[in-house]
Amino acid sequence: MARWAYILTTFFALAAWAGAQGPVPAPTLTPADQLRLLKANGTLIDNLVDHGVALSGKDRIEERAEQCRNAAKALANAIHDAAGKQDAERVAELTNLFSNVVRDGLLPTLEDGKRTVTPESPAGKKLREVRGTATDDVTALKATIPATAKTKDSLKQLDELAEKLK
Amino acid sequence: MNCQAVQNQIIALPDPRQLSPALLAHVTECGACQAWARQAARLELLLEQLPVPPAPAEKKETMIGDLMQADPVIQPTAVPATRPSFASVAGRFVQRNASYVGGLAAAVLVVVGIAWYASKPTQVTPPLAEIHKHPLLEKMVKRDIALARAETPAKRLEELGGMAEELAGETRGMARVASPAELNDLARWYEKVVTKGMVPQAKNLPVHLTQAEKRKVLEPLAAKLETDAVEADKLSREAPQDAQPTLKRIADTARDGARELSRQGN
Repeated sequence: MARWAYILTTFFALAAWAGAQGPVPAPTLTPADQLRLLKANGTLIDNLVDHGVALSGKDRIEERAEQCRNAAKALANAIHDAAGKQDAERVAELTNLFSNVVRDGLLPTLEDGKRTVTPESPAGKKLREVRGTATDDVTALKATIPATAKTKDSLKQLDELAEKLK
Repeated sequence: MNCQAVQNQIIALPDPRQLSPALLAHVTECGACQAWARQAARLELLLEQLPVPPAPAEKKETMIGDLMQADPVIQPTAVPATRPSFASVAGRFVQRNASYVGGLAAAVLVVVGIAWYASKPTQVTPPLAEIHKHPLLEKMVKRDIALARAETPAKRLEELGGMAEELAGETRGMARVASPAELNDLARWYEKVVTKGMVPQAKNLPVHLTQAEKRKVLEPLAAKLETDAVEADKLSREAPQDAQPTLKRIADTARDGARELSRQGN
């Protein structure tokens, strides 16, 4: 009887230890892949660094919204290029990043502006303009991306953004 | 055939009025059996005349249901004796030698586990979607989002500091594989973040902040830039000759930036 108790205790201890090992780490990119991605995304990173630096110098909310939309536009341009080359994986990856910028950066900034800026003021007008151009960006992207199984999620993300930008 | 046997056979007949020739021959000559056969015939006649009670209404359906069920209508009443199967013999063996069998199974599992672990490929090939994920690009996007949402100059400085640190790290990681042109791009981005982002932000910290408060914001960032400079200097001594000017440029940028931030904090 005691032997079975020892065996079961050992078994559960080993199972707990194995379970505590955590998730399998994400596969690391080879240096060749890193180099390829750096070449592919060089211009985009350049733009994002520029917009980041510009964002850090903007205090007014309408200017911050505009810079944020510019960062999103840089990603949208890269998506257009990838769609032109029929690179569905890249389209999906970049659309994901574009959605993040619009959803987590631009939309909350526009909402903050709505609360703090008088609608009829120049700042309010600018905010509406930024919202409009961002909506146009999303519409143009939807028209560019071909509807395939690989881009299904990307198109869904864009639909959700278009809905939120309304 | 004696009388006892004849009488038993008459009783066992489906209809005692229909006697077989052998029984009829005996009954014709034996008075006792003749009387017995007559009584049996009379009993049969009386039984036929008894009224039959009507069957319950659902009896027919129940019976049809019984006949239509999936199981066989005729159930085996006894299991024929068979030879013990291999499974039962094996089961008995395992029961008798549980410790040895358990130990053997555990040993096999350990050996299989070690063999699997030793033979698994060390470099996991990332799936196609993973190949398009560029960590540096994702980090820059996150920094831009954070900068859009950073409401105070201190918070913006912090994000710019993070951006510079990530670019310096990427440069160090790529120093041995990237071409001078690509390393130059990385150094240029780093320079832009430090000289056009961090230094002007440090100078524009709100006037209402005391010098101690400014120091609290700027000192950790200056220390990070110093670390970037030291790391870049260290790597430039080991990196390929092509990469050395870029690493030196990063080290100089970081050192100048750190000096400027420290000056603003004092």
